[in-house]
Amino acid sequence: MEYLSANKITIVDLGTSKTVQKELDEDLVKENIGGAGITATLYEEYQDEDPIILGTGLLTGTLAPASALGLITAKNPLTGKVCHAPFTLYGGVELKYSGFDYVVIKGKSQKPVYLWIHDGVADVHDAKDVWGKDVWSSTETIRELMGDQLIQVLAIGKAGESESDFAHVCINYWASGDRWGFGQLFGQKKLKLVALRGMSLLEIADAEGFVRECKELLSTIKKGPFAGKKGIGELTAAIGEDIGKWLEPIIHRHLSCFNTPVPTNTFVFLDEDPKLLKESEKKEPGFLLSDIYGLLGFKKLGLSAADACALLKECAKYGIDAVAVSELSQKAGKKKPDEIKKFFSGLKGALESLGKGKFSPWCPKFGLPANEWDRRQAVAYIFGIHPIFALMSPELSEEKLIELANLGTGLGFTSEILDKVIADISK
Amino acid sequence: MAFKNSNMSLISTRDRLSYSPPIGIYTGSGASHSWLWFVQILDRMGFYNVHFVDEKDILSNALEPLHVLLMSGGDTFAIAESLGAEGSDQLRHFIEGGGLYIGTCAGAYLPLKSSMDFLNQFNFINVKISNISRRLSEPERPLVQKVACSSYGCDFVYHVVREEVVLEMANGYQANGKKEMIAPLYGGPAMLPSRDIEPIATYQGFTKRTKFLVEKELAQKTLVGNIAVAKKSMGKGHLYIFGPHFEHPHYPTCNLFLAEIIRKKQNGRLCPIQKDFYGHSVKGETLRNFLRDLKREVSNSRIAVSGMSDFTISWLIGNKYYEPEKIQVFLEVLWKRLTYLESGGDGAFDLRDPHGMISRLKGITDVLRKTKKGIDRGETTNGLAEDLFLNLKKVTSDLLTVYFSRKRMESIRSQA
Repeated sequence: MEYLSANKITIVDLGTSKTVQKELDEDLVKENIGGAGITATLYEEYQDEDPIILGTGLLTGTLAPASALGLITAKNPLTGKVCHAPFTLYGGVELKYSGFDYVVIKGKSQKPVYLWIHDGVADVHDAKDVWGKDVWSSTETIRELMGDQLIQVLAIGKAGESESDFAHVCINYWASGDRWGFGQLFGQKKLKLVALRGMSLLEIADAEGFVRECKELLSTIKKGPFAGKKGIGELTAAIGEDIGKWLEPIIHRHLSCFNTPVPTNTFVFLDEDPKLLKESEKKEPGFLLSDIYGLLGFKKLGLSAADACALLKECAKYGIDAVAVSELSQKAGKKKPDEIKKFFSGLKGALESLGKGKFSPWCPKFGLPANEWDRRQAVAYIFGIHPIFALMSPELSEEKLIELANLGTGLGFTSEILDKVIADISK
Repeated sequence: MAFKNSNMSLISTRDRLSYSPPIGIYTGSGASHSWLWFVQILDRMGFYNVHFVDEKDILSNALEPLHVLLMSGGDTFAIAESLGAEGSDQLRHFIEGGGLYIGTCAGAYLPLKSSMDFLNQFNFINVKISNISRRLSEPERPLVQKVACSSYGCDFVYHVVREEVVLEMANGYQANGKKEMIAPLYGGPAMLPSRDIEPIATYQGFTKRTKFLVEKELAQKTLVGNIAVAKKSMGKGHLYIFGPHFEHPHYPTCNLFLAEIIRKKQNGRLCPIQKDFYGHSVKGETLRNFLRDLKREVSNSRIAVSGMSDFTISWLIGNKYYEPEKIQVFLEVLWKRLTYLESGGDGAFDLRDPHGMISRLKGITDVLRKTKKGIDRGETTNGLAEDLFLNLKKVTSDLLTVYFSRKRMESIRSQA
């Protein structure tokens, strides 16, 4: 696969600590486009070895607006179904540039390990320096060890290590879109984290046409209804939950994921003046809010914004799904931050909010009928578009994404091929 | 006269040579990173008979089989000290025996007449420079001393601009058919007229990209009209001295001018390419593992150095300042060549010390990570940086030796 691709898949056997590389077959791309289309195929191929597949969409890491998505495909430990969870920020981009489009992680390690993927090399390392540490400390340790703060880390915390049903795979220090308990799978495999960094380049079939189309698309998006909107408060407002006044006093800034025109994340200061303009000298001044339902869940418990965000931070450090924590805390009548935190260890119970489909319910429905939401998520997961932004931006239509894919690869994708891929991954 | 009035085009594949004279590039003590620019242009123009020599090699008669020696930028004093009187004799013998010496920047200062210790052993060219403080008036001296200068006995050598300068070709020489050319200057000499040299180009002026380190008038007084490029014959050989870095890869006209000098060195004589053999031939799975190990370590180093990209630090090693960007230049050269070597299929490689190369690269990664931690903690990291650049030069020249050997073999095969 020549274009928009690192042209490589790596198969990591945690049982032997060996890695094998394969070329990304162009026919596989022609038939399955990319992202979830290919991770699902790879899952099937290696299903007997209980794999976790990491992947990127066809357009991930390009100039295509919101092309920030990386995804994890694996068997949902809670439902037994093969599902997809998104990771955004700069994780997807870094995976694409690390020299691999897809990573198949199979087998189980006897001892704790981590995976270091960089510039077309995938190495299994002893995790003795990070096992037992929380997510924040693990991310910090790996970045210091490798000497680069831009390394993107998919990590589990204590919840994953103890194989909790609600163990969450975090991205760097923050919550990802893993609402499936994929952290438990990491823990079962004794895989503490996957660190990603790469400095490779992508080739584009029709570079001029691709860039022109991306620029035009971005310009149209900027005139759309979400132009000028910022932060998690706008997203909750769009689903009828007004948290503006509640959250406003602790907001420091809003942050976008890679190349995403609207900042969907909000950074709050918990241990620092939110009005501070210069860089904080405190080591942990606050928290990045990227999980709408986790935040709303704690708000519904009657917590202040500062307490809710502090709990989200504790969830991220522990590597546990904040939605599960808030829902089960509600059921157990626990409403004080301290008692909720103590509740992390050994958290059990059935979740009403557990997603039933293939795609993580991390992304709100924004009032869409379930089938429309599913299709739109499938499209985002195939092309590598931020799943929330994909719902916010009708300008990123299927036709436009196919057009970009064709300019980028020269492979001649059609809406019929896309329909077939969507049908395949929705089975 | 060689290549006077020749109509030179910019670099293209048709400039590639079927045969190439044996060329040595100095990488020893005092050499900074600019010798890698020579590597890039030689590679691009098809000169594959390239070898890397340090002071120990020169003292062990390594210049004997070479036709050309390229001496690039760095710390002139350190180069002179490491070569010493014996190295000077070797150089003189090489040139007088018909060798071609091309020196840019520090490599240009080295053979100029000097009374300074160590440098005074290399008085091959009787010429004075204009960028020395004794030619300044009393009020001008402190202005220059504040910016960029190197101590030179009671005086100091100073630099008035960086980046681009305009040169005027002299004595009928042309660059790409023109009488003017633009070249990058990073501290190289401006020479006063002398009967001992034939001027090839003089400094004529500046461009929008010129960075003035002093007032423009003083820059003009120091440079304009003085000699930027000169030639001297010595015995059967020649020295070409370049104030500006003609080997800088962003200046193809300069590169071609240099290449033309090397090309003419052959005097129509073909230099058959010979196979090197270092005694350790690796192939198959062993070769693939070796390349993967190399790639792993170069990548780890690249990532560690990218973590320093926000640092404004520089290290003074000898008389020369080094910044993290210079580390990146080494690593990018390695990375590009590795990519080529990886695509080489199942052929065998002749390697001098494959395990040593890997272990040295691991050491580089380790030192880079320690350096970054040290900088983060506000510690002094000069010692680490010194060790780092030494090892980078060694491992880069080792890998490039493998690379050029491979290129020569391919060239032989394609001609067979």
